[in-house]
Amino acid sequence: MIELKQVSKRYPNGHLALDDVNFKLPAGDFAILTGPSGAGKSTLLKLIAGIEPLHQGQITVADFALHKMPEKQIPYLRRQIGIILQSPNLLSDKTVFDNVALPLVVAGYSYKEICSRVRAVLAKVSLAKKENCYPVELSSGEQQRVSIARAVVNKPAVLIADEPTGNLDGKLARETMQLFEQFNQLGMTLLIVSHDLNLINQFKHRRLLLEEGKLIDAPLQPA
Amino acid sequence: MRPYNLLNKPKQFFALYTARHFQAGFNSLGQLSRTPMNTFMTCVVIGIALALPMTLLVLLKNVETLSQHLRQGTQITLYLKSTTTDAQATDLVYFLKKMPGVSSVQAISPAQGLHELQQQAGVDTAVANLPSNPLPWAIVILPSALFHSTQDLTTLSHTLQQITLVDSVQLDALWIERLFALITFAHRAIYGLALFLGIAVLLIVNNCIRSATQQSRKEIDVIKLIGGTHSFIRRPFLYAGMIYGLLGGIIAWQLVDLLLVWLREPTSQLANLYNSAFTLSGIGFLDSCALLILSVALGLLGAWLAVHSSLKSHKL
Repeated sequence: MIELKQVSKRYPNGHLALDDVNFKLPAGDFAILTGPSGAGKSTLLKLIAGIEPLHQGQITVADFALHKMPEKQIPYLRRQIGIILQSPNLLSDKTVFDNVALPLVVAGYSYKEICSRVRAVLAKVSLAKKENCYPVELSSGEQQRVSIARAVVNKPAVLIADEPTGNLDGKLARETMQLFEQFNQLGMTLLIVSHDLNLINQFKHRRLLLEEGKLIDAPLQPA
Repeated sequence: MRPYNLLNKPKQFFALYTARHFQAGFNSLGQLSRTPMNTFMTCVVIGIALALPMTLLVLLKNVETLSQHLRQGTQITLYLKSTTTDAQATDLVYFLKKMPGVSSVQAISPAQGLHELQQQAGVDTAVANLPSNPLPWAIVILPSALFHSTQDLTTLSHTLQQITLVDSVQLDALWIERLFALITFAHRAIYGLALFLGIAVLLIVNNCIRSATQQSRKEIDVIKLIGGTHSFIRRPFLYAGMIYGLLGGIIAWQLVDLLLVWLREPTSQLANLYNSAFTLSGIGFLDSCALLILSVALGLLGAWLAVHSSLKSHKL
């Protein structure tokens, strides 16, 4: 579950990135956040992930109240959120297996548990045969799938993604969105940022539109 | 879903905690072994920086031991009045033996003194021509081990001077005091030098770990993004700092030991020339432990400072 109440964000240079944003995404929902460049989409995701400090308003993510939470607790919040960025951010000196296993290592899972979870999630993203490959040996689509696998291997309650299909062609982008739908069907709450209207219109999910820092619940477009 | 928390399961928590430390330690060791030449050079620099003050301290300890022996040899000589009879001198010796601060008393009669004087070459004829024995009774006192400071010896001399039969008291401890003042000065100078070189070690480790954190910048960002705590990120770097410190300490220890072995023979030869059985002492178990603990602590502190500033500069 994600809930924002009267959230505003002003950067130190005076720019108002978000202006009194309110919305609630119940557990198990799937929403697509869209809007023009500079509308505040990435800022919103950064606030939810605790990357940017919250100065005004209230944010609750998977039972964590960010507005009340000490900074030391942020890592524990992030273990409940799968974060996917436009760039896959994989570690080049680690294999696919090691990259995906990283959240489990951080959370202190046993080696046996790590192996079973990583292999299961790699199978889910169709990369079971590539677990020993290094990121440089993968295509950009495969790299993005590895980053998705890494984001969901910990079975997070919430998955947020900032332009996850930005670097992918139409077919790969569609496949990635279908993958997100599968995770949503397993009960994960998803908030995806995208400005690719062609892609968004192919999926019937709740639409959130951000314009100049203000949030509007947009009606669904015909598929 | 609740955060993964093992704090309410102490056994599992302890096992996880230990496993994480082992993992971080082995990772750091592996990381350092991938650049063996860099690691070796850094450890040698740390070793030399630590070996210099340590060698000086060990040599100073040897000088201190030697000076303690010299101080323990400090004597007080009492010259009694010429009118003192043998019986009075014997009574006085008996009295002195019971005095606090006196370890041993040796009486030298005028006849014995004259005999010793005659033994010395060139004066026997002059002594033989003397109409009578001019020498007084002399009593040589060796102060006890507890009376070795200048103040104690001076107080004891003043007390002895008050005895009616005593004509004069001779105490020659000034040169030993000068030696001790020099040792105190050297102590301070070496501790000052050790402080500066300790700071140098801290900076060397800090610089190495800082560059390691810069190389791992992307990895740190990713770990923070997936919920890695600061202590999880810090741990392998702290182990690397400790390994640098430990290896540097071992090198310093070996360098000091080698230098002392090299100096032992000429020192013994020099001591033999002065009829002394003095031999150069090595670094010793406690000092070795102190050196290793100090070097590991410096490595740890240097690494902690480097990672702390690096984590502060990461925005994620």
